[in-house]
This record gives sequence, C-alpha cells and structure tokens, in this order.
Amino acid sequence: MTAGERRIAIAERDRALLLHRKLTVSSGVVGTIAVAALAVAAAHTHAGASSTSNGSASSSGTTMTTTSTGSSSSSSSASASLSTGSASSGSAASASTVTGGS
Amino acid sequence: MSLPEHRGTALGTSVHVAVTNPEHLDGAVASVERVVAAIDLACSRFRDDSELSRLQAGDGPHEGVVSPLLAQALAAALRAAELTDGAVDPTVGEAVRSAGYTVDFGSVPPDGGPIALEVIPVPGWRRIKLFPATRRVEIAEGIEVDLGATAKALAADLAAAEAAATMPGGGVLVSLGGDVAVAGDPPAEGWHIQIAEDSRAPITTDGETVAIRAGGLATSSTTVRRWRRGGVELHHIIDPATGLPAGGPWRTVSVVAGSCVDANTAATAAIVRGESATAWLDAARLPARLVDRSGAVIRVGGWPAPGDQTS
Repeated sequence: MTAGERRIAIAERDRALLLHRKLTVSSGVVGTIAVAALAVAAAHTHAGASSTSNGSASSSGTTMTTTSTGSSSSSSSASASLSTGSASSGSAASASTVTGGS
Repeated sequence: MSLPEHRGTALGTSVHVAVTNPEHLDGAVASVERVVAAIDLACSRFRDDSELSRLQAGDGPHEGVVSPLLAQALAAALRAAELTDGAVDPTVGEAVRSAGYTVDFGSVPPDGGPIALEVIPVPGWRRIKLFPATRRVEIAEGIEVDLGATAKALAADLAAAEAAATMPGGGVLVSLGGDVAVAGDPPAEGWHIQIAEDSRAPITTDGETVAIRAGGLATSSTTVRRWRRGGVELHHIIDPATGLPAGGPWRTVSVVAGSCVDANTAATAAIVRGESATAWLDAARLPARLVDRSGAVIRVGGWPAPGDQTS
C-alpha cells in the first residue's frame, strides 16, 4: 500500500466511524423512545414488561408480557457491565475514612 | 486533611459522612439518615415491618406491587446477579439463615453448638421476576430474598447522590460500613480512603490508601461477620453454587467502580469466584485489591501500587 492509498484508507475509516457513531446515537434514541412507549403502554394495561434480568421478555408461567418485540431490564442501570472507576495512590495522612468488611 | 464529618450507626453498621464544605454537613447528614432509614424499612430481612418481610410473609409464592425504592433495590440485586453470572445472588436468604445468621448480626451468638449444613445450590435469581413498569414482583415458592449484598451499597450511592443534590456546590462522601460512595465536587486531591480488612479499623499512618474522585469503593471480607458453630468458623458471604459460606483463596477484596453498588457487587463476586476472580476483574477493568488467606496482596485492573502517584 502506498502512502496515498494509506491516507485514503484512513479517511474512509474516519468516515465509517463517523457514520457508525451517528447510527449508534440514532438507534439509541429510537430505542429509548421505544422503551419509554412500551413502559407507558404497559403501565396503562397493567401488563408490565417481563424482566428476569436477562433482558428478554418471558412468556412462561404466569409471567405477563408485552406483545411488542421490546424488552426491558430490571437493572438499576441499562449498562450491560459493571461500571468502572479509577483510583490513584492516596496519602494515609489525608485519609478521611476506611473501607473494609463490615 | 481533616474534612467536616459525622459518624454514627445504622443498618447494623457504621455510618460516616464527610463533606468538603462545613456548611453542608448538617444537610448531608439529614439526607443520609433519610435514605438509610428508607432502605432499612424497604429492604431489611430482620424487621417484621419491612416491606420485604411483609412481601415474603407466610408460605410462597409471593407476589405484589412494591414501592419504587424496593423495586430499585430488587433491580440492583438482579442486575448484580446477572453481571456476575449468579455469583452474587439475592436468593441466598435461606442459606444465610441456615448457616445461623438469623437476626441482625449484633444479636447473632458468636459461638454455638453444631448445626447441619447441606450442600444445596440456592434457588437462583432467575426465579424472581420484576416488572419495572408496574413494579410488580413475583417470587417463586421456596425463595427467601436477601438483599444484604447490594442494598447497603445502594443506600450509600443514593444517600451520597441525595446529599450532593442538596448542596450548592462541594462534595460528599458516604460510608456505610466501609461501602463508600462519593458525589459532587471532590476535594482537590480526591477522597483519600484507607484500605483495611475491617471497616472499624482506625486510620493508621502507614495503611495503604487510595484516592478516588467519583463513584464508589467497597470491600467484601470473610474476616468479619463471622460466627462459630460446632467449632467451625462460618461467615456471611454465601456461595450460591453450594449454599454454604464461600471458600476459595480470598479473604478480603476491595474494588473501585463507577458506583458503590457495582464496587460491592464485584468485591463480593470476587470472593465467591475464587481463583478466577483476578482475570475476571482485570477483564472488566475494575481496579481491585485482593488479599489471600495468607495475607498476600494482589492488585489488578489498575489498582495503584502503594506509593504510585502516577495513576
């Protein structure tokens, strides 16, 4: 690959990434609206959306489900993984509290 | 650095509130006390008048519409179970009780005669159904829900958030028995938190200390909340796969995460997962400090080495 071809490839990649981001944002908004609409519909019908925390609606047993293709989560957060944090080294002289078992 | 602070007790453990602005301390404490009392009334399995106890009263199955707070606590517990592949499971209630942890820990006899423990996997979190839109909960027969693994950490998160919301600037740290959540604007150098096996330990001049600016830090340990039956040491962290107090190599695990409930979830899961915990924490990019049974310390996921100021 020549330097020129490489520059074109990078530009193509950047455009693709931009398009991907736009699509992701768009689908996220649409998804949010869809879930909100489902929640409203479910509340009005007292149906609710099944949530066994696996993110999919269930039709087993006495579980009541929506008939839409949407699903809801019982999570306090919509994230599919534990949220990460960061820590830096601290100073014992500045410690304001202790973490430990309780 | 000495920050304005308040210390008390609640939920059978210690409460510590620190703020960056002394004028905000009283308001922050009031917020924390309000949230903690609400969580206790919603989620305690030791109070007959708690919403969870009333929901589970009598023979199952149990079902009903619950308060927004209990729904949130159940959602947090189910999410923890899902994200840990069931290592942290809210259906451990009967297993905890069978092991002798039947009342608030302060009232659990430290020693007693032998008890029969059977290796029986817990029923499993998938047998609890929560319908968020209507807050309807269905708990299958034979399940005793115990939110102890996540509710205290959730309380720390909610309390810190509520306290911060009442402040016109500044930051707050809330620790409930060593489950730490921070919110608002942190001190310039961050919140410095010392690591110990027991949250009741005093701050020492040479104790390992980390600084966080947001989220939470929690520690799970098998060295506390222990009791003895028939000469056998038992503790409160149940392995859902066996229904017995978790074995494994780790006695204490501390984790930093984007929230206290996530930190607590990961720390408890690490104790249960045993050997595989280090790779799991590393892959999840969760800074963690693990102490094995011999006292050896392993740091993974970006947990800073002592004295490392570059992280």
